[in-house]
Amino acid sequence: MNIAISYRPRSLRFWRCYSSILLAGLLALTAMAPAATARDVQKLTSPAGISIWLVEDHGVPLVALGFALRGGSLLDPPGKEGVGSLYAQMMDEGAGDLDANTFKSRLASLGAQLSFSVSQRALTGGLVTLKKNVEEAAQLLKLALHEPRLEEAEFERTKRQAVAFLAFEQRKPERLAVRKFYEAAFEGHPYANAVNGTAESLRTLTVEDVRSQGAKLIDASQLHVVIVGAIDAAEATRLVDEVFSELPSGQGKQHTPAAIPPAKISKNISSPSGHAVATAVFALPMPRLGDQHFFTAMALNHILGSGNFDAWLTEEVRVKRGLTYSISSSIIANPTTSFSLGVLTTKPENMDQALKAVRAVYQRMKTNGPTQRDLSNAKNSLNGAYLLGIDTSAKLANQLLGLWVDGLGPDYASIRRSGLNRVSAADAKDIAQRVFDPDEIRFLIMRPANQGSAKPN
Amino acid sequence: MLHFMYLQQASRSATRDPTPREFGLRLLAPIACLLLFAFIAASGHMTAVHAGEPAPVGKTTSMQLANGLQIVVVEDHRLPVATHMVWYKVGAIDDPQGSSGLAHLLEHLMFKSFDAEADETFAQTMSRLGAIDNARTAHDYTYFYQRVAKEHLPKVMAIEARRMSGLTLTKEQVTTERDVVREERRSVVESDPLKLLTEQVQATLYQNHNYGRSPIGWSHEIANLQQKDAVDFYEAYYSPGNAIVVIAGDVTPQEVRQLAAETYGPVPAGNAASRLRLREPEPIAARRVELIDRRVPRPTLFRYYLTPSYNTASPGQAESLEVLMAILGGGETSRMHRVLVNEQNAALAVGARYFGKGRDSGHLALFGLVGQNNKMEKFEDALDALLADVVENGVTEEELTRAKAAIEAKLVFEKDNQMKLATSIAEALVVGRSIDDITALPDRLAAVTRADVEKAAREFLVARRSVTGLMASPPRPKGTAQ
Repeated sequence: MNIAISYRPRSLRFWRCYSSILLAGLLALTAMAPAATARDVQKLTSPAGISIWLVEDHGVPLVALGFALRGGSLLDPPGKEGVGSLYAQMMDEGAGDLDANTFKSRLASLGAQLSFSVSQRALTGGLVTLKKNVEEAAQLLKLALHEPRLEEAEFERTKRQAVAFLAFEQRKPERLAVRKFYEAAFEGHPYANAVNGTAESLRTLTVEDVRSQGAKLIDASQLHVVIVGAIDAAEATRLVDEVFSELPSGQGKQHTPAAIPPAKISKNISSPSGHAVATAVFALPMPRLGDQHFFTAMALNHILGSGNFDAWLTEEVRVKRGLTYSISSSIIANPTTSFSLGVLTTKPENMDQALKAVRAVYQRMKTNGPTQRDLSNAKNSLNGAYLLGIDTSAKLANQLLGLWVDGLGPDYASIRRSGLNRVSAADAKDIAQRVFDPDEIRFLIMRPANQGSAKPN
Repeated sequence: MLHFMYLQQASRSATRDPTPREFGLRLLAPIACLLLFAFIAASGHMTAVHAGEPAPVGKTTSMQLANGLQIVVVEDHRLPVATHMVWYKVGAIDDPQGSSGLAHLLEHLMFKSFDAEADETFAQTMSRLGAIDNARTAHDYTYFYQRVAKEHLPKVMAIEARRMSGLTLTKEQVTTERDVVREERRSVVESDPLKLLTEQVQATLYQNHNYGRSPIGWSHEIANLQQKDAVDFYEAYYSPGNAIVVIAGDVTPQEVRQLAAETYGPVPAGNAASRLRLREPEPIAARRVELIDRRVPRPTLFRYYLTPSYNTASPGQAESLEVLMAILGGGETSRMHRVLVNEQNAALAVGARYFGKGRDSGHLALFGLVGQNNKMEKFEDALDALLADVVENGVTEEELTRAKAAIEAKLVFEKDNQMKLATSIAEALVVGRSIDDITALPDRLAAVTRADVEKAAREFLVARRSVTGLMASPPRPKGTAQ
């Protein structure tokens, strides 16, 4: 009665932390013309100079406010991975005169939802509240931003939870395999580090570490705010100044790591967790965001790896051969890296057959390119999903924040649409040949221990 | 953890890893892929609409075609999109004895249709229309949905109408898809000790009802499913009189009436097979299951209690259970979190939920992520003491107020999400509840008193109604490294 299972796998969302463009690519907003007018983004600047994007919508009496401070886990000092994330987790564990329990009780009495988190390149926060409670809820947000208490007892508990959480996340073979892929393909680069750290790094962290990381992360010069909901421009700017105008400004220094594609690895590992399935991660470098061929690559990757049942990988590996429930490939792109990342899980003894099919699909793309129908369906599908994926105010707010963090504007939706629509059959064939080379695929294959290890290539 | 659900939705599209704070939610997620609570946001149902103004979000209208098909329109004019769903009143509980997983396999097979006219597969049509589509099988029902730009609504209605009768399947399609389902079970259920444990707890909770069977089916029975089984099942249950179409979005009842007559109208009525309706015997013994598996990330305890559902409860009972669970385990200010996590340090995360949407039964689910093997006993004692305290001394007015505030907000947040809005309404209708019943739910929840909650606690937090499920990794052999 409460358990339900789906025909289509839930998309493997966990690697989205690496990119908002990816999700822009998968979900996102205003792909179809009418929607752009339905959800117009107003660009505002508050009297105190804070930049705000506002989507005013009185359809439902709620307000979703999101903010981002550029920075994030890439600022974690070596050996202290996860410290930024832990700071975010501590922000609502009591603030100002309110201890953790009182703070959360106030919030709960308002029915408001407040959360803070860190991604690679930003600390973000979200407040979703009934319109009628927006003033009181905003005061709690303000308190958490300015005066988190960071008390020892709460800190120790939060840390224990964070360590246990990592263990739970990694019980899933796909997630573990992707993590291992990042560690291998970006070895020595900050991208190899997990946003939430490792059990080892978390255990060494102290309240002082977290406090000093907080001082780096809370930097008003890196602030941007998005509001979606039943609120007008005058109210929104006033509210934003009330909450944010006294935040300290840092030096505005940002850590932008060197641009880097995933290294060409071909790696077999044993699952440390006793999984009974085999998982393959496969990746290919892609044109960078801003490159004229970016959207061509997005369409081609979609044709192969959308996970829809007309996607080539799904057709070959699932529909025809019944080798897997789930296979897909997504583009991970941010200002400094761009690649496709695919994942497949199957019975260990079927992995070699599945990988052979994967390589054949890439070879077919390289040799033949897509058909006209493939290309046109991919454009429609990408554009359609972009509109439909943003179906709540909070999702829209998050989406817009992600665009800002990646240095894009709220008009990215239309840039994306026209970029996709411009992709010609000739472009597609050209990029298919240059980019979708099976010999360039990076592999990481995780098998149960004692299952032998066939070569991916 | 209730109040994080909405944020988790949001966070999935955010640029970040999931955070530890979403923990409780994630632990309960495997036992509740669908919307967890029965709160329905159809409050616009009775609202008068002024001419020329769009209907308020959630305005719900029902109609019926001559062939028996019920059509429900849920208006949401904020964006030019529509969510189109077909719900069949057949699910995993209808799997014949020995053929568990059949309803789910058939759901997969429904995607094998080919549109000869347009020369394209179902998936190609969906891509061409820019649709998001999927289907789900639960114990009580099976549904299919497409989310599309409004102008494509007629096309997806036509497609669903076509596969409502006369599906043809080849033997090869069935055997290949059967392999896919076995892979699905392997990768989604058998790779995850959490899912295995909750599957075991559920199987133990239900001694008579088919709710005890896993909806994806047991592996050895999936392996035996045949083409004929699937076709017979389809012929028995897939017909207009056994289905509900729910359309949410930028549409009016008038438009839909016309489209439905053109698309679904011609589908032959057919006669759906009757469904077995089983009841649980009154439970007499507390039960325990233990899963020892080296993949278990941290020792965890689940506790289920057998209860009625909204559909089977006496008036007010289900609503009281809903509020009771919000008080006990809804978020970080809940009783369980305050006492077991903050004060006693007996667990790292806790949560509680009422699963009350079933046609024939419901249950309470409580969990604690204990963290260390040697703490399991202490946690269970502490949990039992806490529950005994609630049964004996009741809850506070403050706890009640907080729980209701969360519920009120959740109702509004849910309305913000078209898919959830449509799903909530459909999920209630498909088990036989009425639109008026759904519409009045917010008021009924708001009316729950302390006395109601306490009565529900006394009646249902009773050991003999319970199954306790534990999971832990095996003890390490002596002398091995940590």
